Formats: sequence, C-alpha cells, structure tokens
Amino acid sequence: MNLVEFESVTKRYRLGEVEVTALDAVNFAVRRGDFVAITGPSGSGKTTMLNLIGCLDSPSSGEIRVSGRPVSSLDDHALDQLRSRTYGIIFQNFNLVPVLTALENVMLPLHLHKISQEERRMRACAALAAVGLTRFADFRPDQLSGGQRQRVAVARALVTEPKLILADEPTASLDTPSALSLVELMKELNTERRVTFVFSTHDQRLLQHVSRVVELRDGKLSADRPTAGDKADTSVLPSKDSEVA
Amino acid sequence: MWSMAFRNLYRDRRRTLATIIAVSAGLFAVLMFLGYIRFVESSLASVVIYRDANAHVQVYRKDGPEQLAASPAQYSLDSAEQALIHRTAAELTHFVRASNQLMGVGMAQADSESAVFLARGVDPEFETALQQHSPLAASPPPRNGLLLTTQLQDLLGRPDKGSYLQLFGASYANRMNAIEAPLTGDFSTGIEAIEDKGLKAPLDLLQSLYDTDAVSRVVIQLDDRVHSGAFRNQLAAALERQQPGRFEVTTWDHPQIGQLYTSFMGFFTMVFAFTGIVVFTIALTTIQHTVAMNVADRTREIGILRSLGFSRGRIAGLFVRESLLTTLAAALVATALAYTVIAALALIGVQTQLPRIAEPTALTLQLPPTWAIGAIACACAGITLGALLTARKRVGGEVRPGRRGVPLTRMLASAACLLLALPLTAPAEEVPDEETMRNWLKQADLARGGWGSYMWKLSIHTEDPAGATDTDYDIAVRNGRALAMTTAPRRYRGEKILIASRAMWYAKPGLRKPISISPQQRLVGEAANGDIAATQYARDYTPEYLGPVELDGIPCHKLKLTAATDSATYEAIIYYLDRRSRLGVRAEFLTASGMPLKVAHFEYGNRVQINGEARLFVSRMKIVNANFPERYSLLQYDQVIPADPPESLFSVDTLMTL
Repeated sequence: MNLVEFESVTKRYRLGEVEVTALDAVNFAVRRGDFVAITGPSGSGKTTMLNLIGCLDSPSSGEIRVSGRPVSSLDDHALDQLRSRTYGIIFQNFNLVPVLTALENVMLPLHLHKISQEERRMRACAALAAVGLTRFADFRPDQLSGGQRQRVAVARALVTEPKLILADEPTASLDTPSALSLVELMKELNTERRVTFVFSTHDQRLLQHVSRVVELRDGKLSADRPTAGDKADTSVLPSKDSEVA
Repeated sequence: MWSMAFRNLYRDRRRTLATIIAVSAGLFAVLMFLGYIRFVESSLASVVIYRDANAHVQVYRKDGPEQLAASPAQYSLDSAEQALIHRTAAELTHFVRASNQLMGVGMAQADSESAVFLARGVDPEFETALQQHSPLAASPPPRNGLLLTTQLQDLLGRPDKGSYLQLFGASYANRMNAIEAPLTGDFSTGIEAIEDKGLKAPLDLLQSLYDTDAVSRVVIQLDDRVHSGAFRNQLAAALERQQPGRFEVTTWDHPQIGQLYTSFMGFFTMVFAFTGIVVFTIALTTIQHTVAMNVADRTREIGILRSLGFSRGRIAGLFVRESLLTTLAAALVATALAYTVIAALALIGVQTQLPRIAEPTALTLQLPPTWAIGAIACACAGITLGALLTARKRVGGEVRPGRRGVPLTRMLASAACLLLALPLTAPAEEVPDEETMRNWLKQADLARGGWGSYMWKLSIHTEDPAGATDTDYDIAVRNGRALAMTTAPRRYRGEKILIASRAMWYAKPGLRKPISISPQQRLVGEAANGDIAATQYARDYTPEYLGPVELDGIPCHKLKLTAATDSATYEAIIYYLDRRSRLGVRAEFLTASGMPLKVAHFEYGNRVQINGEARLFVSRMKIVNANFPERYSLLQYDQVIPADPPESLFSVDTLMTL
C-alpha cells in the first residue's frame, strides 16, 4: 500500500483578485522506504506539495490518501493525530523553538504521546545521539551552528519514529560540509531504518543521493524518475497531464 | 509546556513587564478597595451591633420590626414574654447576655426650645458590657438621667449638664404623658441621619414616659457575630415550640434593624462590583492584547507546533499558561503592595470619615489572606478564560469575513399626534365665596364649642388592638380657648390640657412647669388632643368649595380646608357640611401629602341656649383611623351648658396651680 497517494490533486490560492494554481491535477504516490526529492524552479509548487503531503494544507480538488485513508474524511483531531504519529517535518530554517534547549526541542513532539517524562528524555537523547549531538543536548538553538540546528530538527523529526519525514529545502541554509553531512545522515536513516523521506530541493548535492526525483513545473508533475541509487518502487499513478519518466 | 510558557515570558521582557504592571495596578486597586469595603463593613456592623446597642440577635413580637413604630403598645413584649425569651436564649450556646430595650419617640423640651427625639431605653449595665467588645469608641451608658446627642442639645439651646429636660410623648394607652429627667451627658448614635434626634435613657425612665412595663424587644449578645444566623434559627425554633406564631427573631443585619448596614453595604457592593468589572475588563483587555501580540509574533512557531501535531487547543493552552503566569506575577506584586500599604496606613494611624458615621474612625483596611486569594483566584480564572478564547481564536488563524453590520434598529418615521382641544364647558354652578364658606364654618364650629363660652363633660372611649381605654374630662371653653381637665381614671386626675391662642399646653402633677405641645403632638392618640376641645376651623383653615354631594342621604357641601396657620392641628380637612343645618357631618383629616389620616363622624343630640335660641350642639364624635379601622375613639359630649369661666382659667401661668 502506498504511504501517500495524490489523485488529481489541485491547489489554488487567491492572491487578491488573482487566483493562482499552485498544483494542477497532480497524481503522485510515496511508498514506504522512498527517498524522494521534489524538485523544480521556485514557484513550481514544491512547498505546496509538501504541505499537502503533510496534511498541513488541504487540496482545492482531488483526493489525498494517507495509508489508504482519505484525508478529507478526517476531522481536526484526527489530522493532529495523523501529523504527530505519521510525519516528521524538517524545515529549511530549522524552526526550532528558541526558548528550549536542543534536548527539549527534540522532546517536544513526544508531549503528544502518552509516555512518561523519563521515557521522553531517553528517546530524545537517543535521537540526538543518532544525529551526533549528544553533547549539545543542553544548548539552546542560538548557541548552535546552522548544521547543528538542522540536525536537531532531524532528531526532532525522528524522535516519534514517523513513517515519513518531510523536509522542505533542508540543506538550503547550510554550508557544503553541513549539507553533505545532513544528506549522509538522512540517507543512512533511510537505508538502515527504512525511514521514508520526501523533501523539496534543488540542491544538486542532495539530488545526487536520492533514489527518485519528482519534478514539478508550473504546478504540474513534469517528471517522476528513479535515479541510480534507487532502492524503492517507482510506480507512479497514471496522469494524463504528467510526464512520467 | 509550563516551562516553555515560563521561558516565553522572557522573550519580550518589556511587553511582559508592561502587562504585569497594568494587571498588578488593577489587582492592587481591587484588593485595596476590597480591604476598604471590609473595613467599612466591619465599622458599620460595629455601629449597628454595639454603638446602636442592637446586639447580635433581637426578639420582637411577631411583625414587631415593621409595626412597632406605628403601634408600639400592640407589638411590645409583656413581662411574661420577656422572661420566656431570656430563659430560652440563655440555654443556647454562644449566648453571652440579654437585655430589654424600649424604643420611642416624642418631644424634648428645655426652657423654650423643643425638638423631636428618638429614644432608646437601655439597661446601663448591659450597655457597658456590650460596648466593651466594640472596636469603635464607646459612649457612656445613661445612668440616672438622659444622654443626648450634641446635635439634639444644640436644637434644645445647649442646656446645662444637670439641668432638667422635659420629655413628652404618647403613652401606650394613647394618652399624652410627660416626664422630667436631668441631662447627664452626650453620646453619638453613630448615624448621621438620626444624630439630631438621638436620646438615650435608662429603660425604667423611658418606661415611665410611655406608662408601661412592656419593652420593644429583647436583645442578645453572642460571643461572635458569625453565629448570629444560627443562633437566630435555634432561638426562633425554641420560642416557636413554646408560643407558636408569637415572636419574631432577627439578627443585627435585618433590614429594619441594620438599615444603615444593609443600605450602605448594598451600595458599596454595587460600587465594588462596578469597579471590579471595570478593572477586570481593563486587565482582561490588556492580557488579550498581549496574547494577540504574542500570537502574531510567533506565527512561525505556531506553525511548527501544528506541523508536529499539536492541536489548536494545546497551542492556545501554551498562551493561556503564559497569561496565567503573567497574572500570577501581577497578583504577587499587587498583593505585596496592598499589604505594604495597609501596614503603612496602620502605622501612620490615618483617620477617615465614614459615610453617616458621626465621628472620624481609624482607617484599618481589612484584607484577610483568604479574601485576597479569593479575589486573585477570581481574576485569574476570568483572565484565563479570556486568554483562552483569544488564543484559540488567534491560533486558529482562520480569518473569517466579517459579518456585514446589520443595523439593530431602524429609525421609524415620526408620527404626528393630533391633539384635539375639547373645550368642556361644564354647566356653571353657583360657587360660594370664601366669606360665605367661613360663615358656614363658624356656624359649624359653634355647634362644636369652637366659639362662645361653655362647659361640658367629655368622655373618650378608645379602642385599640393593644386594649381599650376610657378617659373623662371636664371641658371649659371661652372664646376659642379651652381647658380640659382629666377627671378619670383616678391615676390621671390632675392632668390638664390648655388651648389658648393657637398654642397648646400640657401639665400634670409632678412636672415643674407646663409643657408646650407642638402642632404635630396634637395628633397624639386616635382622638387627637386638638380634637378634644375648641375647634375653630373658620379661623385656622382656608376653605375651598369642592361641590355639592350627598352623604348618607343628607345633601352636603363638600369643602376642602387647608391649614392657614402653623398651629392648625391638621394639614388639610375634607369637610362635609349639612346644606340645611350648616353642621359638620363628616370630616376627613389628611396628612401633608394628602393621604387620609382619620375620619370623623358627628352627631348633634345636645341642645344649648345661645342668645335665647336653642341650638344644636355636638353630642357624639367618632374618630376612626383611616388605615386601621379597628382603631377608633368615641367622644361623648354631656352636660353641655353655656357658662362664663374666668379668664384666669385659660392662663398658662396659673395652669400648674389649678
């Protein structure tokens, strides 16, 4: 079963008097274990697509299914549950809570899980260890470098053991060593833990490591192709408007 | 989340500080006002309980609190009832002591000055013991004489201490009575409204004025006022078992007793509620604005939390926690400041003038910790709720299109009102002029002894729920002056009422000099003293013709008589004159506000020879209370003869020697 399926999903925004189509009848699927990059020029709909996958936004038309369940059938509470149990999200600007330490930031999503404070702490420590930041646990975001902050963000995304991690331009704010280090970390998690990654990027450093590239152009899926390191299925739902590689 | 909320307060310290200052200022104001109200409440309660000697619990006859002023005899407690109450109360817990009290009104006179008094007859020993518990300055109890407020003393021309004052009032048998007692000191009622009427006397002295051994009530002191309600209930139940429906037990805050307390506390509570709402609204608005600004500043963070799966409610909860922490910080500041100011005021010893309390009182704001905590808890709860609503709305991020304002009301076109003038020209009727009416009145007065010289015997039988009384007088009348001398019962023999030139005097054995009776005092008794003899409506009232009427089949002229002098007994009278005989058939005596006070019916069964002509003379007069028909007086005129009593009989100088 596909983890996420888009069936003719369209998203329109109204900017003043003008209606903008950010995504146009996109058909798309993510399977467990995918390491997918969504790429395309600025304004092509990458972030919109990630938001829709992460149920942070709702489509204007079409249907999105997560683990086979139509998202449109879920109420607010169920959507909150879905986000907390299914997804981990990494943002371009890290988006850590500035008043919390690295450890507390990582523990934050676990507040939605009925586990003890001690277990939260243990799991957060483990997540931080996985991203190599054990000794920075008590540091606040403003005391960390950009790369370290993004690793904290990865740890926060990992800590709930989600089925799917969404990352919006995760390396855009990082220097090359940090970016490469992050890419390696993500790849390692994908390979060893079978964590599914979907991220938007036009960073070639990252694109070299992905197993599948989905290309968007003017809101339409222009290409969906496996790359050399592809380990996942490459099935794509048929679309009359999409070019499938 | 609490930790995160706490740390978030440091993100914009200026904003947090400004919010804390604003909220703490409001809470400080509320706490100080609360302390002031508690102080006022305590002071007013002390005035009612101690200064005014109401003690904690009072026992009256059923309906006594409402009816005592109008019918003191009927609603007083006799000796057996007093004993029963004392015995029953003493068996209950929290009882300390009980005492009898008598309340009454009358006129006090010193030399030529007189003034109305409101008297309380108390047991000096009880008063002394009761006052020991008062936080207010205690006044000396009345021992061997009268205590008057300084304002009442001023009205009486500042009589010297030790000088004798005359007290005049209506006895419980509805008779005039007077006593003399020395002025021994002054006191304050503590109530501005009655400060110029306050008089305190030993109970037995006041009982002698009202010629009774009854008392108005029994008051009971308890060990603490918090037990008042429970004690009242227990005592009421115990008395009800022994004499069902006989007694009414009240506490010091009963509206009829603690009127000062209830009215002012009602006012203060309203002011406090208003102030509280204003302050709360300001504090809430401040917090809401802070929440709104925080949300606006942290939209990105809210987005992160939403993406992590935090619900809107949870995120709103974070902002609510921040608001609550801010409010608690403000509450701490406000509480500390409030207690500091209270301590400083106590240290300085500030005095304040409380409303309607005569003398300045030491300002001791009272803010028990439980009250402060309660006020803060209420504020926190309200502010939390407000913050929650704001946060949920803001965090939701949905911008709904504002509803188009629909006017609640629409102005309607003004309607024209047509007034039709209907010139009503009633058929003209002959209206007698004033001189004609005065002649009618003079004829009517003649038949009631108002003009000319006569002597007769008058018997008055009075019916009252408190009991019936009979009094006999010898009446002598000469040219508008009258002397009434009591002949029976024996114990009242020697009492005299002199009506001379619109003045009235009362004398009885034992008094040093006659007492001048004011126009108001002439109304004492169902048969007013002014009705006993010498009625001269033609002289004392201005007539107005109201038209012809038929009364019990008798064609009458209906006149309205309005008092022409201050010495007239009544403010106004509706007088019905027989059209043929010109004799008064019925008179309705009105108060200043036009309400009926009494109704009199006249019968003319006597005949006297005047200028060789046999004329009808009043033989019976029945005066009925207009509000309580069971209260009436029957005046019987007998042995009416034309006479020529000496001038000396009508002189105030010789009144005591007659």
